[in-house]
Order: sequence, then structure tokens, then C-alpha cells
Amino acid sequence: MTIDWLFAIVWLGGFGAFLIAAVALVRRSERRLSTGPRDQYTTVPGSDTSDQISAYLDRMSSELALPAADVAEVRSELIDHLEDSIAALEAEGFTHDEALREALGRLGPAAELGRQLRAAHQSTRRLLAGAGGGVFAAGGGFVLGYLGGTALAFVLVIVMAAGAVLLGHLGVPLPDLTSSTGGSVGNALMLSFMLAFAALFATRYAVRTCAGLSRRAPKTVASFWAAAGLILFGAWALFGIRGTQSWPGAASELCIPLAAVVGAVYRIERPMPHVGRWAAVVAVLSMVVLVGGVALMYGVSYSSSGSSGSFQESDLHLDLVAPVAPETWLPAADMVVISQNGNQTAYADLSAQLFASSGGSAPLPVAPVLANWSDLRFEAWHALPFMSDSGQLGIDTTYATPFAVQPAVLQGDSFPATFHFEHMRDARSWWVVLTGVAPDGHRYRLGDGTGNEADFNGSVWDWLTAPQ
Amino acid sequence: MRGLTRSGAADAPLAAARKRVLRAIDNPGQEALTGPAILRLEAEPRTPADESLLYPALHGLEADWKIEAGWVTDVRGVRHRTYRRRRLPSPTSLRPLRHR
Repeated sequence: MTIDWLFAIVWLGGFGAFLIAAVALVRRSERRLSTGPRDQYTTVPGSDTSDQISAYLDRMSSELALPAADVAEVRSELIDHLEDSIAALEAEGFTHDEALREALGRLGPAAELGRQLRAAHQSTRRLLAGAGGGVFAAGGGFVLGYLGGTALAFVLVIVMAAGAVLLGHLGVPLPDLTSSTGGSVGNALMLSFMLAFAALFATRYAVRTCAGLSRRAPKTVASFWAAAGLILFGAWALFGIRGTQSWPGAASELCIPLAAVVGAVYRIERPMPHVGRWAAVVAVLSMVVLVGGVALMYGVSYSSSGSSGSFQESDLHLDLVAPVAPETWLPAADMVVISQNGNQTAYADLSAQLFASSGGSAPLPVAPVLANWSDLRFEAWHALPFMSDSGQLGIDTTYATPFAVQPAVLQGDSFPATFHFEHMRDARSWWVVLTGVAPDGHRYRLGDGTGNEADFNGSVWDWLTAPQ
Repeated sequence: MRGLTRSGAADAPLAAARKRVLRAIDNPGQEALTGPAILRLEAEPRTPADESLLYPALHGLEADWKIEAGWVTDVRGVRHRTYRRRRLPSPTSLRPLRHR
């Protein structure tokens, strides 16, 4: 394998620069949203002058609805203005009380001044800057949230593994997470957890950054970002995330848009926790140690695949499908073999061909032999799990009918068929047998068929709208 | 969102105040001025100037990137907010704003 080092450096450098820029933007907004320094008129007043100015500033501030730092700046500036104005009026001969009343009167009604200042601050230009900055910060927040979610997920996995070992020693029965089904569900839950964390961080970063840049209180822009997050992450969770699906996996993936909404609205006025440099270094080191530990724990790689070997007929319970074809209409010297292509998460491509049991790799002409047969069809039956420890294989006897049927149409010397088990919710282990109606009017099976396992592969929407 | 639209008739006094502020702030030395200083420049030779629109005009111009604001501290340690025309930054023009 060759590595394009220039491309790698540019890619990693660009990615790092993007993250640094996003974090810097968020921290800048955080400073604006954080509570600014208190002015002397916000504390307990000590004189009549302080009372009047404090009351005026409080009425004005109640109409501002700006980030805390802006409110503090406006108040500080108006205090400076009033003190200057009072001093000038006193120099003109006004008494202190008269100068105070005159100075406040010249600024106009407090509520009106607050409204005018708010309109001045919340310009369209700043709103557009806030929207753009919010999208940018959301990207950075998503990446950081995903990294944080991954670290947290690893910690949870290790804690749960330790708990499972403890419960195992105590004799408490636990689900088999190393099975194919358990592994798929576990993977889906872990991925959803990480993506939900990322979505939560993305919308929170977006709201806080947008509020800081557009000079609006976070709760006034939170509903917009919550709706945007719900739509975007909802569409992504429904249609965009594809892979093996299950009910727990689908439910957990649908939690991703909900996490985005929670991130946008829950306690959005509270400042985000500041992550110091050393905390970040410790987090990265912990992540490395965790990944190393997990790699050591799971050093043995599991290789699992569906098996379709030859088995004793008595093991397979094939008589539940149909009795074997009589020699009268299917000579014992001939046998129908079904071969399959595809894997556990793709469609199953089947092909039934006639071979001589005495040997020979070339298929026999099938048309003369099956001339007496009618209504040939492939029947897909639920099978016993292929990856269980019981060693039992074959048809699952708890089912009395096939779960999917396709007519077998002769093409050349074979009967091809395609089953989309990966789009069926409860296909799992399957066994396909070719059956047909003999001249006596009864249905018989032609050969032993073949089987495998299938995982549902698609989006949450595919899962919810799947036929079964 | 509030602040997206403004009615023209109601904003006429504010627009006039913004023009007055820009005229006052365009002083030859390009000094950074405080609100009261701008008000005094506005008021001459006509008196009195409308103080109620001074800060909405200043903050609106700053939001529109027409002027830039900064904080300076005087010899008594008191902080004042100052305004100046926004220009292309140069090492000398930014010096007074470094007291933020």
C-alpha cells in the first residue's frame, strides 16, 4: 500500500485548521455570551443618584435582549455618558438632582432606548454572519462531538464488559453479544450513540455561535437551529445511515435528530464548559490507551460466514417442505443442485442446475428430465441459525410455510433466481429448496437446496417499510 | 427575527442621526471620539442635539461596519467607549484601540 504523503499532510492539516477555526469561533461567541463585568449600578445602590440611574438602566436592559457582554458594554457606556452629562449640566448651574433628571430625560424613555439599541445591534448583516458562523461551528461541533462520543462509547463498552464478566461469574444469564445478531445490534447502538453525541454538539455549537455573532440571546435562535437539526439529522437518520438494521438499532438511530433538538434547546442559556488544553491532552491520551486496551482484549479476530456445505438429509428436516421427488420422475442418477452467490448483507443469487450424481462437473440438459414437472418454484424457508453452538442445521420446524416463493423459470440449462433477503426484516437464517408438481398432482422437492444467513441491509426507512 | 425590517418613515430621524454622527466623526485627525464628544460636535452650531438617537445611531453604524468602536482608559482609570471611521487597518491607526 502506498501513501500519498502530500495529500495526507494537506488533508490532515486542513482538517486540523478547520477544527481550530471552529473552536476559536465558538470561544469568541462564548466570550460575548458570557456574563460581562458588573457595573456599579447593578449592585446594591448607595445613593439616590445610583437608584435613579440603576432603575433607568434596568428598564433599558430589559428591552435589550442582547448577549450578556453587549448588555454590560451598553450599560457601561451609558453610565459614562450620564456622568459626563451630569457634570456638564452642573457646570452650567444645575443642581445635582436637576442635572440628573435632565440627563436622563435627554436620553429619552428607557424602554424606547433599549428597543432602538437592540434594533441597531441585531442587524441583517450580523444575522447572516451568525447563520454562516453557526453552520461552520456546527461542522466543528459535529467532529468534536463524534470524537468525544467515540471516547465515551469505548469507556461504556469497557465498563459493560467488566460488568458482564462480573455477572457471568455470579451466574447471571446474559445475551450473546458475540453472535451475528448481537454484534450487529451492538454496533448499531454504539454508532448511534456516537452520532447522537455529535448531533448534540453540532446544534449546541451552532446556537451559541449564531447567538454571539448575530447579537441575539441564544434562546431566540435556538428554535430555528432545533428545527434545522431535526430536519437535517432526521432525514439523515431515516435515509442516509445504511447498514445492518434491527429494531433496537433503528430506534437508536431515530434518537439522533432528538439529540440535535436537545442540544439546541436544553439549558441553552448556560455557557458551555470550558475544556482546557491539559484536559484535551488527557482525553486524547485516554483515548489512545482505551483503543489499545480494546485492541488487546479483542486480539482474536472472529471470522464468520454462512455455511452451505452438504449435510445429511435427516439433519435438515427437509421433509417439512415436501417429500423428495420419486425416482420415476427424477432418476436417482441425477440431482438438482442449487448454488448461491452473494454475502450476508447482499441479495442471494441462486441457480438450480441438474448434475449426474455419478460425477462430472458439467450440468446435464435439464429440459428433458423435468419435462413431466410443472409449477416449479423456489421456496425460501426459515432455517435454524447457522452460527449457533448447537450444531443443528436445516429447516426451522416452528414454521409451517415458506416466507418467500419465486417461480423457477428455465434459462438455458439452469433455473436462476434472486432473493432479496437483505431487505426482509425477519429473513435471518434461510433455506431455499426447488419444488415442483409431479404428474401425480403432488408437490415434491428436487434436491436439498441451500441455505445461509442474511442481515437486513439498508436505511431505517427501508427497515420500517420492509414487507416483513 | 426582530430587527430584519424597518419602516422607512419611522426610521427617518434615526437615518438623519446616523448622517450627523458620520459627519461629526469624520474629523481631520481621525481621532477616536467618545459619545459625549460626538454629541458636542453634532450640536455645533445648532443646539440642542437629540441625545436619544445618539447611541442607536452609533451602534447601528458599528453593526454595519461603517465605524469601529474600542475602549480606552483615561489617567483616572475610567474606561470610555470611543468610535472612529472604519479604515483599512494600519499599525498606527489601530494604536488607540489597543487599550481594550
